[in-house]
Amino acid sequence: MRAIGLFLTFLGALAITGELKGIAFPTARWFFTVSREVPWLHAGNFPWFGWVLAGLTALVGLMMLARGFTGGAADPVILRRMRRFREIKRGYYSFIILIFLAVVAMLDQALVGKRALAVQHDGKWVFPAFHARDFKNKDFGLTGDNEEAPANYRDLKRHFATTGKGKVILPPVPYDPTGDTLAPRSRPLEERDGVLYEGRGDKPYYGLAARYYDIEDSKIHLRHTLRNGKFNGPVDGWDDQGISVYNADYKDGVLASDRYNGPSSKEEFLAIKSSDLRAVKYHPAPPTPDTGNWLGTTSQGYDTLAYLYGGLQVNFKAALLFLPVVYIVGVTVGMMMGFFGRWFDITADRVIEIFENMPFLFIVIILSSIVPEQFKGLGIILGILMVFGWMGIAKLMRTTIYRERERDYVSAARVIGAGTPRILFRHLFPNTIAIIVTLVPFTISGLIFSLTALDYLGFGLPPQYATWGQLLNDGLANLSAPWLVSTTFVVLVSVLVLITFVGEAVREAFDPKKFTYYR
Amino acid sequence: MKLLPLIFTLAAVAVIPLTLTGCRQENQEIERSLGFDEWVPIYNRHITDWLHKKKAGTQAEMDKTIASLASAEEANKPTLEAQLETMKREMEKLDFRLTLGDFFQFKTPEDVPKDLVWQKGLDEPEIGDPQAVKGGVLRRHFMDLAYPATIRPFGPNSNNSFRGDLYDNIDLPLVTLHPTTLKVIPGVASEWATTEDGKTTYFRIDPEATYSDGEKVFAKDVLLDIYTRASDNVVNPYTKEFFRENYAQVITYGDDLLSVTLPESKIYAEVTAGAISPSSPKFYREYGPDYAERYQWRFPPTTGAYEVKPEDIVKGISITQTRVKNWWAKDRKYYRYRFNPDKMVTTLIREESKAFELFRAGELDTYILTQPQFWYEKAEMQPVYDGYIDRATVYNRYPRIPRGFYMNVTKPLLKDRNVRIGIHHSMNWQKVIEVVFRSDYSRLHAFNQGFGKFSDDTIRARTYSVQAARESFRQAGFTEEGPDGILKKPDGTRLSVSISYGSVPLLERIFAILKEDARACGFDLRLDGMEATVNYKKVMQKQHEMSFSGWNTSPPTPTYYQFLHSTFAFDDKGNPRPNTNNLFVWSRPDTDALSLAARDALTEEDLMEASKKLQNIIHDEAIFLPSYTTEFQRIGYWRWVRWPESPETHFAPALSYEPHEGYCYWIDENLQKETQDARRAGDTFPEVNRVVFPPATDQ
Repeated sequence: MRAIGLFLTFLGALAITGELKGIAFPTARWFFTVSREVPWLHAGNFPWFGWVLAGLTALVGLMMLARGFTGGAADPVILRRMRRFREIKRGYYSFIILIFLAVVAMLDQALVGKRALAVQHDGKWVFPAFHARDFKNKDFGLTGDNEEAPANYRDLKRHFATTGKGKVILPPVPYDPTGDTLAPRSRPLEERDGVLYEGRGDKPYYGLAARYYDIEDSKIHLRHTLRNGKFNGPVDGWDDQGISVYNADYKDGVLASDRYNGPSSKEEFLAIKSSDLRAVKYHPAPPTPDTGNWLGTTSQGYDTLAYLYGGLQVNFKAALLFLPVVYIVGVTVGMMMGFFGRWFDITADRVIEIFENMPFLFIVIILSSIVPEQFKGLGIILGILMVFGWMGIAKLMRTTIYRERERDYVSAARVIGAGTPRILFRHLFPNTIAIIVTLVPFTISGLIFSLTALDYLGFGLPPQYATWGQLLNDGLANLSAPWLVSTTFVVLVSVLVLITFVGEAVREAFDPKKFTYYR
Repeated sequence: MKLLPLIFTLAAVAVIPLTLTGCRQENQEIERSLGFDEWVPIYNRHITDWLHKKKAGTQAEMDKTIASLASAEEANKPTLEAQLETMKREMEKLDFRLTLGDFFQFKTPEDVPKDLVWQKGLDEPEIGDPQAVKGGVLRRHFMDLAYPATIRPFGPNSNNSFRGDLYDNIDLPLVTLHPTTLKVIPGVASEWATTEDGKTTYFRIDPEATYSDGEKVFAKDVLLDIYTRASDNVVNPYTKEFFRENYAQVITYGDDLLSVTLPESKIYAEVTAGAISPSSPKFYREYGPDYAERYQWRFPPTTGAYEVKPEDIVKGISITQTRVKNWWAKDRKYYRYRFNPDKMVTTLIREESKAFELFRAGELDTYILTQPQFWYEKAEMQPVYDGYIDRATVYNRYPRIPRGFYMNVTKPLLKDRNVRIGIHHSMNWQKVIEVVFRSDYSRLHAFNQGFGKFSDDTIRARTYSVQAARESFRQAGFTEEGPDGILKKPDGTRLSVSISYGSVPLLERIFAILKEDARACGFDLRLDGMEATVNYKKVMQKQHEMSFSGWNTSPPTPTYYQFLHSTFAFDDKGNPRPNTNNLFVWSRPDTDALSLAARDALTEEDLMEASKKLQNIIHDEAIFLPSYTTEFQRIGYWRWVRWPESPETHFAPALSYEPHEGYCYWIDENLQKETQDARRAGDTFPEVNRVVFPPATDQ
């Protein structure tokens, strides 16, 4: 309790400090960026939503902290249950791993992102990743056509590496999850006895190979078709402006015909200095460790690892927003239904039935076609999921409260003079906590699953969000790129399994009957 | 509850009389006839009435324009004058048409003027390859993965993607264009002559021309073709409008002579006049109000090389086209080396990947591989390495589709030319081509590019440049930069413009890249992707800021009128006029004059001059942002499908959009046997990966 309180207070304070000082702290910056990006969450230039959310977080944290000190000793029942949970090793370790994942996800741009962690230029250190404003290329002495563009730190690192004028420290994964399209990748080819091989393999190379003006930006000079490690098939040539000027045809390594339609002469064009032959890997490109794309790229040209990371963040964010809302609404409505019964119960039950009978997928399809582009985002999708997500928990609470309200302690409380809210939340609620807590992990896995499914079907989040569903879809459309579908599958299934393990352990720990079988 | 029986009784009472009358009608057998002779006077009257009505309407509009011209401000005058000019031309056209008399007339051969210069058009190069042999079967699949909803050539649902293979590319019209040299060559008409004013063309039906059922073709059959399509027996508003607007008069002179008059003279007048194919009176004997249902699955006798026999329409599965036995044009120049396979079978396969697997297994003979993922990934397969499947990249000379951003110049930000130029410089199409199209496609450079001599090849699209873009935006007054890196004016106006497009996965990928790189220029490209029909509606209401569109173009001449003329820009109240193709909402007197000049050009030189001037204006004003184009089609084919390799035809006629068009290929049955034997024995052939360029001509 105290730890969580401390953490929330810290987070809120960090967010507010960051906003005032123009520092972008990992995760903490999120309150204000969301507020700025979503049209209805800011008024003019004032990001009210960011302030409200950050303030609220800090306040809740402080309150929990205070309660932690003033609330006296913890409930022995809760302590026993927690001890029990720790004893169930499978669930406990899963929980630890999930917490670790959450911490990793919170490191945000310190771990994954195209902005450099630190840049040394002219003897001064700056920390672009933690700056709210972008630096420009010219701030680091990069001139030319892109000097006024936001600084490209990967280019800058290459530039400094050749000129030695400074130093760039990039995050471990120097790519943004989305909005960071990479130029096509390439891999070195190795020539043995006049035959080209890809890497250390012993099978001659089949496919496209190119000489580059610029490998990282994929500015191609000549692109050959290779068969059995030899030139065989068409050749295309581009000048350094990217205009196609040359075509040729090779037969078994011998030039059969060619035509050139650029300025100057063909010989000059062919003699231009460019890189050694490299295997061309268009998106989705397989893993190319030498450029830091450890899991290859997606068909959109994003780094797969960064994209998976972005998807993980989205899932955690979604769970954090989704759970409180659904549980507060569901628990409250369910308790009221069970406690008041009669006409309230009947009405609410009918409302639930109506919601349950609405075809969820159709509603999502209809809404996604009528909502204007600028409003689409996590908010809308979560909103729909929330509207259809509170009924299960409400029905469960209703039945429990029906049973509990007949107990003697409820009558006793009433005789003492407790009001309805007090009976509901101080007396009945703690006695149903086992049900709620056991359901939480399964709700989270259900949420991740629905988000993935919706994205897979194309009705989910807009493309500026990294989502596992879209990656899965991409992977299935490009089965020849197995790194997409296999990594997504592994990550998705592992997270769901971990959550399920935690859920089982919690259920077990909260089960009042410790031994449900004969011993 | 007691009400229920009452309701039933009432309903029964109401329904009984209806059923009775229905029965009586059904029992009566209508005597069917062609109905053409009765229809001609009705249509003639309809056209005359319509012309009078239209004239009155134009006159009223003209009076109004003259009146407003008198009181107009100096700045608006040139636009109004240009509009007045258009109306005057329209009046001239209507007056001319009214002097002609009846739309359809029947005269005798003696009425044909004696001083006509008849042309045969036999001096053009041959189409196809003399080595072509007849025989064999070509197997393909329905390109849009759906079975045609009907095989009628017109009427509801007939505008499906298979109609090209069934009718448009097979039927012979009176005359047609040579697909390489763009000169007129004979079709069903063996010779033709145009009057001096250029408006009327006389055609002589080839004396040997017959339908596939052996019946002779008469001049009257051309009129019948108009009848079947323009009569009220079929819901066909576009075609009705087409005939009414584009043709002024059709006259037969005996059995094999006819003349077609156009409302105005223009270049390629013979082709416009001769674009009609004759229709068989025997087939349309049962033509009537129930045409759409009655003829749903009946293939009309054709003057072309392929017919569809009734037993070859296997609904939901396949359609087989059979080469007409003793086709009348089989030894004619331009036709003798084409239409070679005995049969062409098109099968329904509902999934693209399954179709590709069938092609790989040799169940389909050809497959279009233009899309990069087909070409580079799927088609890198063993049958290709083993030389069983050949591949070819076929460059063509088909006009390039003007695909790009159409900027609405009435929108606040886009009014400023500097903003438009800045946007041009902030779109990184080069990266799109590299990442999405694997450097295969190329940048489109201009509106109406690729029309041969009518296009200005010196125009270059503006390239991506952060510096140039920011410079233009600065000149437009966007001098400050917001916290998100987007430029703004000192008064707070953000540099943010939306692009409307019909949402498909490919475009989402493209625009994600453009948006990303536009941000580096300080420009916020807002993506407004919507479902295709919703988007179309929005754009047609001119509510877009920029629209990503591509209009279908077809040879031989470029059009500007519908895209640029001021009559399509604003309505009477000065609001953008909905449902026109002027997506720029552009109006300026000089472009009005030039687009009219281009539309009504009488000579190639006039059109050339106007067209190039307009292209340069569009480029200078930066209202059209060209995107990407392909200059080729890629195709994979089993090696027994042979393609022409003659001096005139490289692989396919230069003007065909895709290589199957023109029907110059043939099936080599010996090679087929050899290849199948080799597959069984495991022998291989050298891999074939051809790149084919069209022959160089002056076109």
